[in-house]
Amino acid sequence: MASIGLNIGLQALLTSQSALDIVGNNVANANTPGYSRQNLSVSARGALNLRGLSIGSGVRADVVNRTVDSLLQARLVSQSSSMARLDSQLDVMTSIEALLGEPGGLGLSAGLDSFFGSLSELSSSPSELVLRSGMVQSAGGLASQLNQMASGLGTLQSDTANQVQYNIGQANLIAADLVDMNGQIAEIEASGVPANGLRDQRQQALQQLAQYVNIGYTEGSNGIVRVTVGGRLLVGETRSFEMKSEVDQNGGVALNIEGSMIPLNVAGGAVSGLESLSQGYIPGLQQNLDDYARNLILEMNRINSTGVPASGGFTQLTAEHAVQDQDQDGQLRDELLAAAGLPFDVNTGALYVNITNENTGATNTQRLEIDASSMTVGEFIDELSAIPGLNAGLNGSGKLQLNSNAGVKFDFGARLDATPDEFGSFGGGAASLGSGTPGPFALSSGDSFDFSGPLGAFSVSVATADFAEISEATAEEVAAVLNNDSNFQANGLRAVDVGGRLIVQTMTAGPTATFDVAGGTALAALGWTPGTTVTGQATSVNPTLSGGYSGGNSDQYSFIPLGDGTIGTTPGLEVGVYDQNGLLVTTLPVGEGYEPGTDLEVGYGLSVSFDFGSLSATDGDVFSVDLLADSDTTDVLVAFGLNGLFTGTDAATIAVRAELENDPNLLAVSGSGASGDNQVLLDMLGLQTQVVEGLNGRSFNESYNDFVGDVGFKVSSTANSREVEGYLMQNLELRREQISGVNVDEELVKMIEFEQSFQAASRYIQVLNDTYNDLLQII
Amino acid sequence: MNVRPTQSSRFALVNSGLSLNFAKLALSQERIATGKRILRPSDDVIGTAKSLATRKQISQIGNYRKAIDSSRPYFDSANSSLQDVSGILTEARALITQGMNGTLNDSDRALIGGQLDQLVDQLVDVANSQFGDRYLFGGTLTKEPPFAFETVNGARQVVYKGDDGVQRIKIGSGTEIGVNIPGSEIFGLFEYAGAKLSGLTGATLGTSANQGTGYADLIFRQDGTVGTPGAGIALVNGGADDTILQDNLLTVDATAGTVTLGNGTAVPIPEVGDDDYADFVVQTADGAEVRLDFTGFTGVDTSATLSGAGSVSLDGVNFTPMTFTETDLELIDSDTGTVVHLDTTNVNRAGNELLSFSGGVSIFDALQGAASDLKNSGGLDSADFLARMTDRLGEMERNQENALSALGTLGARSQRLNDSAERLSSMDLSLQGVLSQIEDADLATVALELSRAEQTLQLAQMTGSRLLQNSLLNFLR
Repeated sequence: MASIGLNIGLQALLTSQSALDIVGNNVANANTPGYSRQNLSVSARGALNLRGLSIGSGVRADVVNRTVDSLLQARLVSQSSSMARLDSQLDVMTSIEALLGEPGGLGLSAGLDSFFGSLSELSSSPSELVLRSGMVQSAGGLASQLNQMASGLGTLQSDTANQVQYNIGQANLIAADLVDMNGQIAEIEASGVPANGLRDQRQQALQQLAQYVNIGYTEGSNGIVRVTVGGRLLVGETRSFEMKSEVDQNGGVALNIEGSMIPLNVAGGAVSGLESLSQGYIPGLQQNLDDYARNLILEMNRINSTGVPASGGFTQLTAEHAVQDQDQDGQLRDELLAAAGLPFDVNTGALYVNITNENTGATNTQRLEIDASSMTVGEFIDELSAIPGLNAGLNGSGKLQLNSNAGVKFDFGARLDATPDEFGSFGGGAASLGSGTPGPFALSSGDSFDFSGPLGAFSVSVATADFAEISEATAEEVAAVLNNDSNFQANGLRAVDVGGRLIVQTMTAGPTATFDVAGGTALAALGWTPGTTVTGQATSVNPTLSGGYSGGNSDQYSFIPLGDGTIGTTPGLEVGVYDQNGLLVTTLPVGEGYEPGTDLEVGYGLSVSFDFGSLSATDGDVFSVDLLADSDTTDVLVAFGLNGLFTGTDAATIAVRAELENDPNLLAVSGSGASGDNQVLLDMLGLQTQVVEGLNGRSFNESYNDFVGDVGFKVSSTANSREVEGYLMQNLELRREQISGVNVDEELVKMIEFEQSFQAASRYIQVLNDTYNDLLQII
Repeated sequence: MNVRPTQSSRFALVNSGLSLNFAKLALSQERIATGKRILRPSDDVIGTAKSLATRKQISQIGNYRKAIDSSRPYFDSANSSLQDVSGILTEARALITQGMNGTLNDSDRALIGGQLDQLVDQLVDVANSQFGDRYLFGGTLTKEPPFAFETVNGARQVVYKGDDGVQRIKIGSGTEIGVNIPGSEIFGLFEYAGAKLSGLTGATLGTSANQGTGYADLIFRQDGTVGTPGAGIALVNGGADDTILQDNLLTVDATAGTVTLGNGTAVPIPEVGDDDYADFVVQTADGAEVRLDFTGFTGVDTSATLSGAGSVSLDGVNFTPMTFTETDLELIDSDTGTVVHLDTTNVNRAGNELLSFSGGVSIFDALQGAASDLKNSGGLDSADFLARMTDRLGEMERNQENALSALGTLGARSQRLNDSAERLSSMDLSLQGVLSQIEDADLATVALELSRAEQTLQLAQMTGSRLLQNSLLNFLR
């Protein structure tokens, strides 16, 4: 009787015990997350050669194994990352969607409606103070809604950055834990025993880590898992590397890892989702919102700045935006208008300023040519100050300030000059001779004009120095030369430039005013005949314009008689109207059959009437009038922030001009200054559906709808993707459970199995014991 | 397929099933509670876009309707004012016609003139009517009364101080409509049809065009008679009170005992002792007079040419002498801007000519002119008077037609506004319907969804509990 019998029995007992322990462990951990069921792998012990027989020596418990599918585990880790990425993005996007407040009645859409509604109400009764206040209030409401949205997005941006920071912190902690676990597992497995529990824990940790950042991991032969993130080592053999997040100047988040100078590029996990939002999506939305606000300010102010307030004009205006010292020389006046640090661009074009004398009610319109790339702020200020009655300067903060003299008001409206023949060069009372064609004139140095006036004959000569280019002498230059001549002045003559043509006239009017042009070498260039005498007349034609120019583009019309004759008397007398390109617009019949003083239609809403008098084409009668579609084609008023409705430059800074809130009568809604004129308001209302260049050819309504639609679409598509990923995850987890999960019923069956086997083994031992006892009995 | 379920997987499945059904239930409940199908843009992106666009349209239509409604009172008010105007003008017309009746005497006429003056005041009041604090007929200058009395050239005239502006309101996306008619169009719409002279001096208009508005009085003044009648007859006061102009032949036929002036009828020579022996008036057929003093009459035949020199004035201050050969004498009044050209060749007597710029007279000028003529009818010849009054009546009728046509324009616009309002209101209704279709939850459908979700939830709970309860432990002893 060899003693292996007891050994066999003992082994069997112990093995069953171990198996039962393992079953108990499995049952206890049936609900532990990440637990893989363990089972005992047993093998038969080698056979011993006993008594000539090969008898097995029992059972051996080899090793406790986990049932895992490592490929599946890897897929679970990566799926974890994908889902977490979408989760984090969905969170933020849902907040953005809530910020919009659409399609309920609380979002920006309602604010816009309320603003345009108040504009419409005001347009019905433009002079009512209550409605003006209402309009200012709702404009303020709109502005503060935009402010709120901008600040909401800003808060989200910083919250996202904070969230990233928190997540990175958590990830770093897990990475540190992984190092510990690696160490423990390596220690245990060095003695050849698999560290099942710890491996399960480590796998859980990896899955958790993957929720934060997308990781790749490999297990080394020593059981240590090396984890990489974005291609960089996160958990190494002996240590982990810390990840860091930084907020850059736009509020976006940038990631770094210890041990590498290059920014960390994370492709999955919550951190990746949040980072891409903070770097791309949220700044994109902020930019869209800012563009929207900026264009709203630009377009509204463009219309409003050429409006006239209820008082009929301004006595004082201060700009909202300051000039910046771009070249750092301590001087503001030398900055070019195109580069003065103003928030909106100044273009090349013309600005019209109207000066109204309060006592006489007369309005004088001045035209300022502005070339933004060559005119400095100082030159602009000087040109403004040169207008009689107006003073301009920069105040202490670098903001442009305009003041008018006492009894004078100014504005920038597009006025129609009702009496455009200011010099009486069109059938006026004075003796007037015009050049017939506009300049430039081909003169040579030493050319002369021989005049004969009340004091006798005299001559005026021109020199090269008087002109920029004498062979292309402009009417303005020739007029300056003539006016400077003392004889010319003494004889009561003056020279003016009307629509580019040179006009020489007497300063007195009436049939006794006369002069003649006897000769001179300069005459040919001007198309004058030597020996021409001109006389004044008792009545003057006084062309009077009425109506309002409704054309889309600014233009300049010149009126030239097509023959000589008397208004209303000479048969077939006509006046030709030419646009600024010299094209004929229309001919007006002013001869026999025309009643002087009657309005004749010119076109584009304009009418003109002529009083009784004589016209002469031979004497070069002409007058011209500026027709303004836009009295500020340069946007210089918007750039400086003069007479605007809104101040600010983007969604965070947009606001209503403070002085309007204090005094709604400053609201400039009249086109002509009349209290019932609401043209400016109607133009503003038109902006709702008008195409706006700065918004890629969309209107304000359409652009906002696009904005909301984009956000909604992003949210819904992210939610859909998340749902899909969720199902995938569920699927994977189900598979994992199928492979590694504990089925309690199964374990109970195993338990019965091992219980019986234990019972059998103990019975066997008992039997062996009995046989020993039997043997001992024999002795 | 070898499916190996575990406790955890079963628990997980039951859990996810329950939470899914809870979510559906919650969504249905939200929809019922708010009545809306779309609660956030992501619920239905296209629906949200449509909803936003529809809301904008509804809001715009609301604005247009408000604009129409708020302008209605102005229309109604202007309408009733214009009807008042029409009434006043009808009264004025009756008065003028009455005043032209030849049977009235000077004081009766003066009375009528006074009544006309009152009508002018009434008319100015109506022309200055307000609604709220807005003057209706001032164009876009609505804060000041548009019509005011001012003294021009010594005469009290009504002057228009408003402008021609039309205030527009938006009643459609590209449609604007004017809500006012400027006073200048109603009370002073000029359709110049040329100047007219009415009077008896024989003056006619010259060849050049004339310019002016309203009325002007041309004063033809006689500056003295040149010539000696002969036969001892003298000119009274040296001819200072005579009204003949140009040459007229004075013939005395002693045999027949008549004296004839120019183309006039022969009148008997006064007898010595007659009242007018020293101051006898002889007239031409046109009514031009010469006053003769027969005191030194020798009783012989005589024939002499008497020439009346004359000058003419437009403004009553500057007189231009006439040579009676002018065909285009130009007279200018620089204060009013009036320019008139006269042909003086046939001027044969002094007097006043009423220069009227037909089509260029405002209603106030016509009425005031008629009133002043009625009050000063004593100084006017009856034929002259009639001619002037007829002219003023004609202008008044033209103005009355203007007022009526303005009334018609207002009526047409009012009608258009009503039509637009109706159309907008029905558009609004249909858009509200569209919006509701897009945004609102169909309560029947959602209620069904709710009950179905509830049922499903209950089923899931039931089956879940059944599933979870089964375990081998129940059967092991």
